[in-house]
Amino acid sequence: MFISIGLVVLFASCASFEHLTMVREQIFPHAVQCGKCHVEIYNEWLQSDHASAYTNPNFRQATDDYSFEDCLNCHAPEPTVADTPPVARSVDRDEGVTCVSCHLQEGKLSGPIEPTGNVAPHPIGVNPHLYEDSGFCGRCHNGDFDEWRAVKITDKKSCQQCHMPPITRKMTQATGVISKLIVAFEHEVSMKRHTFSMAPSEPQDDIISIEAKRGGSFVTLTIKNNLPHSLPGGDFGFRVLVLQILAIDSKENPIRIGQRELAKEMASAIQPLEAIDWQLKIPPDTVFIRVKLQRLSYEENDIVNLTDIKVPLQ
Amino acid sequence: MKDEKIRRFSSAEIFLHWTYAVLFLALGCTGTLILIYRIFEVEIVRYEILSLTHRIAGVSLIIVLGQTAILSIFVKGFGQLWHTFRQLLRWILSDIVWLAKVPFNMLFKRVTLPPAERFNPGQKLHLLVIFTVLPGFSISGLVIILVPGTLAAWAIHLICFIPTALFLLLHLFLSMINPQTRKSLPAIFTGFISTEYARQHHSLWIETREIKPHGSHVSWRALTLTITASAIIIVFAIRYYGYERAQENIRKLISSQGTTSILPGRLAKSHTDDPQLKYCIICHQSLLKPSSDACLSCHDILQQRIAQQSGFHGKLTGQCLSCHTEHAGEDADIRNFDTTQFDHNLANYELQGKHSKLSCQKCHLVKENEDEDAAAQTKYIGLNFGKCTNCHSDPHLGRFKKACTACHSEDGWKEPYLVFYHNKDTEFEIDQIHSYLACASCHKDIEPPLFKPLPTTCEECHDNHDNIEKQNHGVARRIVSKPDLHTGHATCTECHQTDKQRPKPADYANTCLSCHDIIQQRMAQQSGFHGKLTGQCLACHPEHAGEDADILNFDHNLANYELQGKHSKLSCQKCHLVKEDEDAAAQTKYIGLNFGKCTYCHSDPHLGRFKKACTACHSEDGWKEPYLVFYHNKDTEFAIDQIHSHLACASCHKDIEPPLFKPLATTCEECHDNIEKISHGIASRIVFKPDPHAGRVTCTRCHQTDKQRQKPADYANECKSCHNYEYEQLYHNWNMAFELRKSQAKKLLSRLHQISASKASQIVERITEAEYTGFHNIQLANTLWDQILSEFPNDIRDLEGYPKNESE
Repeated sequence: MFISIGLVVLFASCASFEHLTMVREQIFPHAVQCGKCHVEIYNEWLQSDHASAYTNPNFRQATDDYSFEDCLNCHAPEPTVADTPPVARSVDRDEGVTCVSCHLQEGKLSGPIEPTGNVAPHPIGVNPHLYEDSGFCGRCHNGDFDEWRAVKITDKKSCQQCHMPPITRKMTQATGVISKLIVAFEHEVSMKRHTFSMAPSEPQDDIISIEAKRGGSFVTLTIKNNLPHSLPGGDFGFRVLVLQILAIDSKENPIRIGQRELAKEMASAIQPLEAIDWQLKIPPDTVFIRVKLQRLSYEENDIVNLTDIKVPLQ
Repeated sequence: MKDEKIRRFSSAEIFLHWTYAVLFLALGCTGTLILIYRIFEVEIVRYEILSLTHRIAGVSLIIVLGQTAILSIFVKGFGQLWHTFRQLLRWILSDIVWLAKVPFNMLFKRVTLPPAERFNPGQKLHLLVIFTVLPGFSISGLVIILVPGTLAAWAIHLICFIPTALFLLLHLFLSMINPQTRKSLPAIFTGFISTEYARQHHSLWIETREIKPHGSHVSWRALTLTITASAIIIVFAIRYYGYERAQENIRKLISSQGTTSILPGRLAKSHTDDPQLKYCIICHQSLLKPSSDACLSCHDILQQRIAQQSGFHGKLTGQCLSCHTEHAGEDADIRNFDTTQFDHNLANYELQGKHSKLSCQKCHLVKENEDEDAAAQTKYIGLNFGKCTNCHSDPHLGRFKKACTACHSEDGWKEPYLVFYHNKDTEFEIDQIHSYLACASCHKDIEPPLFKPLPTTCEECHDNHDNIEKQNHGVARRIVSKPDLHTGHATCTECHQTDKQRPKPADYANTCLSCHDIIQQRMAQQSGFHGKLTGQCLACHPEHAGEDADILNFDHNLANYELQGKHSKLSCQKCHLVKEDEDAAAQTKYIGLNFGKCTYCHSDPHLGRFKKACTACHSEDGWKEPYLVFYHNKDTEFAIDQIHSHLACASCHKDIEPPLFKPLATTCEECHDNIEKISHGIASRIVFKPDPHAGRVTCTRCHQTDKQRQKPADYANECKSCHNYEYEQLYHNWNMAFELRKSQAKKLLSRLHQISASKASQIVERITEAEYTGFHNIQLANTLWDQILSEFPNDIRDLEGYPKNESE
């Protein structure tokens, strides 16, 4: 009798898991519901462009108030099936590219890693080949994917390796007493952050590599794009990078000697793994050349620093 | 041997024990859970259920005890309870010895305890404690229920809890776990215990003869096991809860001097941020409800308002707490304010006109701190509203000294609500000369119309308008000459009357003669040359037509300069009336004239802008067509491509008369500056964000120069050539979207034409603007179309079946 009372108490307190037992082909959970347990992943996604893919005002304007239906296939996709192109959802479009868009496969909530908990409150599918493949992203980001695919190098990084940085943590986090008990027995695994960030959070040194050769009052810069896609990448919207060259003299005074915008529409984007040469006049007592690369978001007027490198003069 | 039983408890005692025990356990459990919830913030059972249960059990206990007291008077069995109490409250000397020896008895079996009565001194002590705490619990409990927020009651309740809990635990241990004493447990169910037990533990009650009880009363093993088990449970509970969190909460409990244990819920964030509000007593009182004075001692604006009976709060009576609640959690909005029901006219600022149609947040969303979310930043009290500029930005950039309300009203900024009279409200009175001008004829420099106060003298405006002032002073574009004789003698208004629109030469007839009085005299007397003339001064005097009849028959071709073409038809003075130097009067001079260059006689209408010789384009047979010899592609730097091939000359060279054919700019942007502006977001009425292509992508990237009169289909492949193949569809979609708006606008326009031609012609201009904006700034074009469609009056929209415009 005590066992049955215990079970009743347990199920009564698990009322919020009810939706998880309902996962099927047609009925799927909302992101908020996923986020009740996958708290950190949900919060990362919420900050990402995927979450606002449908609701952000630029998209709404660019589709003439959502009247261009073709765009919705990728901005509010149905749960995707591996081999078919994405199709627009008919409901809950506000969620944009939501949890189930990627993770609901054949009635199971799927991902690249094995289940980590003792309790599986919903059907779980494991398919690392699908989820670690750039092609999975490429079904929507097709321009980038074509560009990436054309790059022939041996240790080429996939989309997920850079745009979903690795992190070791538990798959779920708990908020209530019962859910805490369940989470307590889960172990930490190496997994991916769901930030989908276009640019790194910190300026990075390995995006481009620079060589500077001095010849009299000129310097010749060789700027190489180390990424397996062009710089800037992407062919939706108007993406602009600003490349600034500063000459720094012995008293560390910076003087801007060159500035250039990189954009596909201006035919100035640097192709993957290609280098451009740029000759610039420099002040005579220049010691260093400093190269700044910034992403210019014309919508919000905010600037993201991508890299900031000091190059000694040869 | 059969064990003999002896009756220890009467039915009434058993009944009283269990009714008391059940309610007391319920109170103890719920009380403990409430304390855990408050101190450790763990909600094992929902707080509301705990609180309700605790209150019901507490009141029930008081009622049950009262009922039992009444029963004891009327029912014989219950009357014996008084006797029991007397037994429990009666202390004899050996009881004191018993209590003193108990600890030693636990340690050493040899130490014997003095004999005890029916209730041993431990039980007596327990009852004494219960008798002490019961009134404390009951009275403070009732006060807590009836007068919420009294601190003293909570403190007493909490202080009573501690000894009660200790004695309850001891009671449970001794009666249910300790092997020596748990033997007596059945007595409280059946009323009987074994005689042997009674002899051993309550010898004074069962025997007249003293029998010293021997052996220890408490089992060490049982005590250790119980404490160990409790410790393990507590350790697991803390581990599950988290060491650091537990430590943190206990530190908080200590640092707050125990007050977190009675804290009914977190304070709202605004209150926790204030270090002054650290102690309960700041707001609460010991014996009374928290008073409004405590709130108002900080919220001084409200105190002032209430004192002055002004504003919304000034009209209210009653306590703060009747609307506002506290301790509802950090994120709770304790303002408890229903904006949909609020009558704003109760506040200090009465809403009139357009103000009354605004959403609350339009004025009350005050972003003082960027980090907080928007909802938390509504500010309803203490907004500045004395001046319009507290909320509105001044499009006139502070240039006007009068109050905004001198021209504008709350019913709307623009016509027809604008109340503005140029003659009254500015320093420049609009006279008849200026009366037919559009506003923008004078206020043309700055967009959006800032109506910068312009100068009020004639010269300051007409300085760069027709160069009248400069020309009077001899400053022409190409030369500097003597000042005109009239300069300095006459003000503009001496000749130009301000009370006449569009004056003609005839209007100046009397003006000249009012100064040139000799001529006026001659004309009046009909004497001299002028006296024989009729007509206006201006008919002759700007021209000074020559009349040298002597050389009419002169054959000019005998001279060094052969007259050809149109030169042969000129009068002599046309060329030969010259001035030798600046001071001399004009004289006819027939010998020694310079004739090597055209410009010795002809002024260059192109103002020296062309570097080639005049004869490269012109001949002596005539300046203009058909004598003009000129090829645009060869003779200028701008080759006429297919796009421009169907245009008339004046389509581009339209600014200057006579046509000077000023070399125009050769880049696309310099002529098509409207497109350039539009792409940078500058429309005629609004300023918008620039299109990302502006300044980055050249015009010819999309516009091929080898095709005349291009149509939308000609650009179908341009978007996708930089972006991707999806953009072909996107381009098509936008084309369709713009076409749809255009056809809507045209349909509405045809109806508007029948009602108001002037309004319609304004809209036609704006449609043109929206059309050429198009793909040069898609978002701006979209906005322009929306604005145009919303400008049509509602009755017209209604006729065409479009939804009504809400702003109207």
